[in-house]
Amino acid sequence: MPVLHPEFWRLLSPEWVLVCFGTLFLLLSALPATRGAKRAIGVMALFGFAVVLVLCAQTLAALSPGMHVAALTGLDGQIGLTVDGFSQVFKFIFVLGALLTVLMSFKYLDVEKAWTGEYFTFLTFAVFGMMVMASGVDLLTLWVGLETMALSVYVLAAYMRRQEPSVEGATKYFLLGAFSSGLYLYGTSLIYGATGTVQLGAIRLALMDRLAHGGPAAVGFPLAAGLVILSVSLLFKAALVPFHWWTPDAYEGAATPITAFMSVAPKAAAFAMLLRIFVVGFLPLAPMWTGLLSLVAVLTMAWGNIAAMLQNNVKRMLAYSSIAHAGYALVGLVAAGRSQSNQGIAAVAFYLLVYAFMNLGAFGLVLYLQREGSAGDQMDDFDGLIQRSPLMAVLMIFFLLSLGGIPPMAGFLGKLMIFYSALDARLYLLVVVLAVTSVISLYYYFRVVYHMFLKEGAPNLPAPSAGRPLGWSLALCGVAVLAIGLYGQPFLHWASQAVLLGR
Amino acid sequence: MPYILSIITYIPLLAAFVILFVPKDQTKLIKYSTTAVFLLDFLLSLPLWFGWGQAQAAADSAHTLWVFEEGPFPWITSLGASYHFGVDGMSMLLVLLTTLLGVLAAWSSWRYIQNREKEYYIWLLVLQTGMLGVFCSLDFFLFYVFWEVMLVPMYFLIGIWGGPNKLYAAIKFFLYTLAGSVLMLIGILVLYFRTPLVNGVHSFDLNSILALHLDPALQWWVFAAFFVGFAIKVPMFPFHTWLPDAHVEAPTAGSVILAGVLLKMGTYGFYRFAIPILPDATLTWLPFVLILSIIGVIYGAMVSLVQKDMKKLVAYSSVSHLGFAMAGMFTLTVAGMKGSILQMINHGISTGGLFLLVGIIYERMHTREIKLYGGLAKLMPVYAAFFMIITLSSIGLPGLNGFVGEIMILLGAYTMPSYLIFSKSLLFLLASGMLLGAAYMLWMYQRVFFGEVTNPHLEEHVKGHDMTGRELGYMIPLVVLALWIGLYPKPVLDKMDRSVAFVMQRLKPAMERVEAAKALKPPALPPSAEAPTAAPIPAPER
Repeated sequence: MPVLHPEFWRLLSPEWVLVCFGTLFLLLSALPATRGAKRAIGVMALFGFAVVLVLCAQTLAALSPGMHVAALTGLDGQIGLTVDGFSQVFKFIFVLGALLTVLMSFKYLDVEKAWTGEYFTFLTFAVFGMMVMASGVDLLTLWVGLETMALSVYVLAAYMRRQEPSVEGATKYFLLGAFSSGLYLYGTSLIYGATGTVQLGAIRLALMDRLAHGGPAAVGFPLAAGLVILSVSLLFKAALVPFHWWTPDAYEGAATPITAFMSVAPKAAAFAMLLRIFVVGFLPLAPMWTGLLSLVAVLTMAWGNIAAMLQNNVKRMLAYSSIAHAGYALVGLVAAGRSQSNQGIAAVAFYLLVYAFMNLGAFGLVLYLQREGSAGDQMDDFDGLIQRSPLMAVLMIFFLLSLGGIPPMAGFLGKLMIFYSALDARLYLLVVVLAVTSVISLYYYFRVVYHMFLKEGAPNLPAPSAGRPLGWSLALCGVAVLAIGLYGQPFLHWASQAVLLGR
Repeated sequence: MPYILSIITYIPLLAAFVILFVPKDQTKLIKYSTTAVFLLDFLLSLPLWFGWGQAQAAADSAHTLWVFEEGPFPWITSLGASYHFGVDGMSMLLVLLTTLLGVLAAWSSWRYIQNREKEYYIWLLVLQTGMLGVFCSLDFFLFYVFWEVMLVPMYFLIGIWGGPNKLYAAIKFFLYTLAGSVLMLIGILVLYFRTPLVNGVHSFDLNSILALHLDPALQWWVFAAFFVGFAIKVPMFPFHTWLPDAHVEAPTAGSVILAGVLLKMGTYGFYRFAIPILPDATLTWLPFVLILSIIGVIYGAMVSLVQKDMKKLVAYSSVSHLGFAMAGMFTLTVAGMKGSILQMINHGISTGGLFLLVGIIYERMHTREIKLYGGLAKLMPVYAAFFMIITLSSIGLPGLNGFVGEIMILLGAYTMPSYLIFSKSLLFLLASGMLLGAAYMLWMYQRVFFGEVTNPHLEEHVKGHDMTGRELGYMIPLVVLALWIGLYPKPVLDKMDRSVAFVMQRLKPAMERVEAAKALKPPALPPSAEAPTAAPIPAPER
């Protein structure tokens, strides 16, 4: 029976503080209230996420390097939840994404007159689920986290319930999501049957034992099938090709701040889970799954970028581009499986942090252009933006250059870290595909630039208004993208704390 | 002045930031102050030239090639990237060329640019910082950052203020050069991973990469990556298709900077990185590069001959001239390399000048169609004289700058060691490029300036509108430089001594090995510890 760390309540403070806030919002939203009072819940959510963000940073600092704390026990008496550098780094990314999303939601909810308390409640519980996904170390605990997140996000995706595309996208997302959860459990049951455990560390020991005695042939069909089925469900959650079909519809239909959130935080959570499962539990089988995931990475980078070239709706384009970015991050995951060093994991963590800033920033610009009766997500909405609001056009250029990986923006450093880890692991083919598809991506990012700078806007268009919270969040994203690009050292150091132990 | 290179590099960026806050209807203030900033930048770069002797002596006593060195200061320590600036004789000349052409580009835009002036001058300033940073960086990471920073302003200069087909030209320029530089980045990273670990990290510093001993097979691949990146920039023959589009559509100042400075990025890359870091691969690739250069010289000239548009003619002549510079560099002789560097400068002066001159007439007539002109010499005598001098400089008339560069390159081709290439006589095709160059330039001159005035509009728009004081102002420095380099090139050539000697010294062991192998003699013992392997260069595997 593993012993719990005496300070585990303190180390788990991000989780329980967040749950307290979520419960509070739930209770408050049950009260009949005016729009002003609903807005107050939004302000409280802002405060809550800010507190939790600080707690995440604090708990990370409290962990000595390489420390690994068993926090809660799982179903079978083994460790189920752990607090380590890896989990805290990823939690920070989720909470950061949620915080920026809340800031960006104010304008959207104002314009659409859609304030409710449930919006923030579900956002909070979704983030809680993600935290469990980052901390869980057995397949069932992870599943609980995954479902907590997924159920909340299904609701959020359908939030604009009177708009047909929102409902359509959310229904697709829900049906496929439920199916993939089923697959996850099926895969888990096969793995449990083969190894007798769902705890990742124990699975790994069992695998090493088998390989030592019987060689690769001893892996056996049920285990291999279980791993493949499990992977499929996770690839679905991270929206990787060929399991990405739900993404464009769900992203285009959902409320824009929710789309922004979905493209960043749940994706990061899916990567945290993928990393934990593959790099801790199934590392002995790395030669097998790295091949499979390399193929997925190539397909994802190629298809995400090619499909994005064809879109006229900016939200949809960003949806496909987010598929491509998941492909880049997947290269880091494959590198983590191939190489002994921690480079790959740090690269993924760093990339997801940078991606949170730049992608939320780009969606923020869509929100900025939103006005009554128009979502602001058509390419034409960007026409002549440099004339109407030069500052915003310049910010958008920062985000787009960063997404395309052009220095001196943060996205370049992110891609460079992926390059670095992949070359370190000698994945030359993946590096070349990454490089070529990045060039392709600039084509569609520059379509937006073309509309902003090179095309004249309709003369009678009023300058859009941001409102303070959206303005702050855009400024924060812009500064972060430039600052990380110019001096990435502290952020690289921060990401390098994302160490997975037991490898 | 300490940190002079950083000061020169960042002044334009700083000015761009300040201009951001100037209201956009203050166009006069913006264009005058931008030009003043460029002038200040140029004046600040003059101490590089006048203080060179002293600074070079200081660098010699410190046993380093890099003059005015700054750093390396730690930057992104967990990646091993540092802030490291410095120049040698060759890059110092290119820095001066850049700051000079910056002034001329800004000055020549005063009338040409009539809309969105604020953005225009901001992008021009940002571009200047990018270009200067490339020539000054001695750290590969820093170099790459500046290298990419250049792309974005150029995209806008072409895309917003360009001609009718500007959108296509802008995105083509952008994606084409980006594709090359991304491959180059992979090459850089491969080298980076070979550097020894210091405190657990590799290093991007040029000095540590120069200290590597790379095996020839690896060099071959890295050279391939560098070749694509740099050859697109030059542009060498099959990679040149972006250039005519970009040049024709770009506004005058854009073309001046594109031809004057941006194309030198490619040749600079070969000279600074590809050749000294990868000497063995240089020798393996040499015949291929030389053949492409020669094709470029002849092809560029032939295509120039048939152009109907003056600007397009000048654009294709760049392909030819840069082919010449590449061929000179790859003769791997002191004369050839010096001629090649001089030719880079010359091309900046003469082609930059030609673009400015074409811009002057375009502002009056709004056409560049050669057949709509004729008899211009009668209407604009001063303009005709300037055009003649720059034309002659471009075709290499003795007494003007082009001649010195071309004759040195031919001399290099003549004295090139014959074991380096299967047939040296091939190089004499270069001379035909000179001949064709004279043909297309003089023929254009004849059609535009001589004969009777056939176009009635010409009289109406041009008569009595010879060059203005401002136009004289930015053309005279170029003519003076052309004459000075043509008559007394020694001060310029002397500045290159150390730099060329360094590259030759890097090449020496590899060349000796090839010579020994070709002579079917047993390979000589390694001359120093620097070349422990004396194996002949294996054929690259494909």
